[in-house]
Amino acid sequence: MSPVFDDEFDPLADDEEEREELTVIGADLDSMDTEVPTDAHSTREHLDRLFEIMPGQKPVLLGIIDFCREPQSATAVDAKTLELKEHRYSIYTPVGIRELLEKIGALVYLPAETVEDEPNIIEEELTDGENSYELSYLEVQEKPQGTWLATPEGLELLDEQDPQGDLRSLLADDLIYLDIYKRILAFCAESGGRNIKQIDDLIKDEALLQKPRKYGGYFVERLEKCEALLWEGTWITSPLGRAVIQPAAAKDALVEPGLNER
Amino acid sequence: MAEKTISLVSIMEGRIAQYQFLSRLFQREMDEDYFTSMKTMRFPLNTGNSSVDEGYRLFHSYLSNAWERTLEDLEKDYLRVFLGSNTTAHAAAYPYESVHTSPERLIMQEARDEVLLLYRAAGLARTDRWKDGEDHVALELDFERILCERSLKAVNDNDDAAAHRLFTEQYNFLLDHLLNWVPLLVEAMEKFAKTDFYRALARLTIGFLEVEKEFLEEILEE
Repeated sequence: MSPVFDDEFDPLADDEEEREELTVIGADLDSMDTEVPTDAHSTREHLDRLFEIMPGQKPVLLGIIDFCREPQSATAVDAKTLELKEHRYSIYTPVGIRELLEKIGALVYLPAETVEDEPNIIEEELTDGENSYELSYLEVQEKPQGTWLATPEGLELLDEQDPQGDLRSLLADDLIYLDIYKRILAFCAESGGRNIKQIDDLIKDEALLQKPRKYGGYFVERLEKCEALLWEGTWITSPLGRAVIQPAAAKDALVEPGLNER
Repeated sequence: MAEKTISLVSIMEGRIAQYQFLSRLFQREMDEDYFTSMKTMRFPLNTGNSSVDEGYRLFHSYLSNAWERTLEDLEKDYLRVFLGSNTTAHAAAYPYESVHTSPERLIMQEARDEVLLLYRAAGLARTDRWKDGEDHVALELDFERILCERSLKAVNDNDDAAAHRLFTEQYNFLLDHLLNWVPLLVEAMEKFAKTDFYRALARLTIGFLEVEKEFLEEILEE
């Protein structure tokens, strides 16, 4: 480590010039700490909010929770996270995502069960030539790392996920645009997926979309939330979305549960 | 069992390393490299000073239980303990002598001017990297380190007069400055710290300064 001081004497330096303005830097040390306010939101509310503001990360977050049905090491969870987010850009690192899920109560850290080992003690004999002294030292022994497990709240929300039902609701609520949705899903099922410009070009001349004006992003966002479209470097139709474009499937999907069962 | 020879030189080398270690921990937040190197350290048991022993024991326990978020915890705790981040009215264990020795608890007071004069008298000026007050505990500890290094050189050169003068300077600075306010600082650290790491630093610092006082008194009597 480099020293803080330079061994340079500066006799010409002016104390007064260097002197900064008086600054009050804080309250008396007797001031008590504030407690961090308790988070009043449930795990479900947090996750719903996350899915709303970043639908593209929903499969990642749910995928991690699913992976952690059984306790998993941090390394395994992070590898799974990288796999899940391969096509989903996120500012969060795998560790950051884990922290996020822990913070909102979807994952919990289980410390490793450790046997209280005797500390590692090193003995050393010191001598000054006349007398001898024995000194003992403690050495740091790193403990095994714990595991990550999905919480009951996280699993409950995961198991309640119903993308088929969400897609049915979307198509029923947006029935007027059913044909547009089907065209986009069919289009993105070809050629390894499509980009948003190609999707815009596909539908831009549709009379139905002129007033009120609607662009590709409107449909893509909704289909992504239902997991009918996936972002894998391009927008690509998922198996769930492909079921919609099967002959007669979409129409039936509005009244019958289980798109994949046909 | 390994055997080592102790001598005045080895004791002084140990003192230099200890001042450097403490100064680093006060100077800035923990980083990964330094943390990794700390995990390879050996922590003495039964040194004869209970505060030093307690400090080492806490360091050992904290480092032995480190996990992936320990570094982040330490960064937060440093900001909390020394800068008042996340405390009421930014109260903190301010690491400046002026704060603990001026009635209004202000920085850049008389104590800062005094230590600045002493640094200059010793031919020292702060580096451009140092943006804080000169009465910061890290700088005062580093000043002692430099005096130790100079006295070690004098010992190696068999310059008894220079060594005695330098030991006297160390003793005076210890009494007039470090021991005049660091007890207040460590008391505040123990109050604000959320981690045993900074509690350990508090215990070790005050214990080491006590040991230093005894050592310097002994050597100046000889």
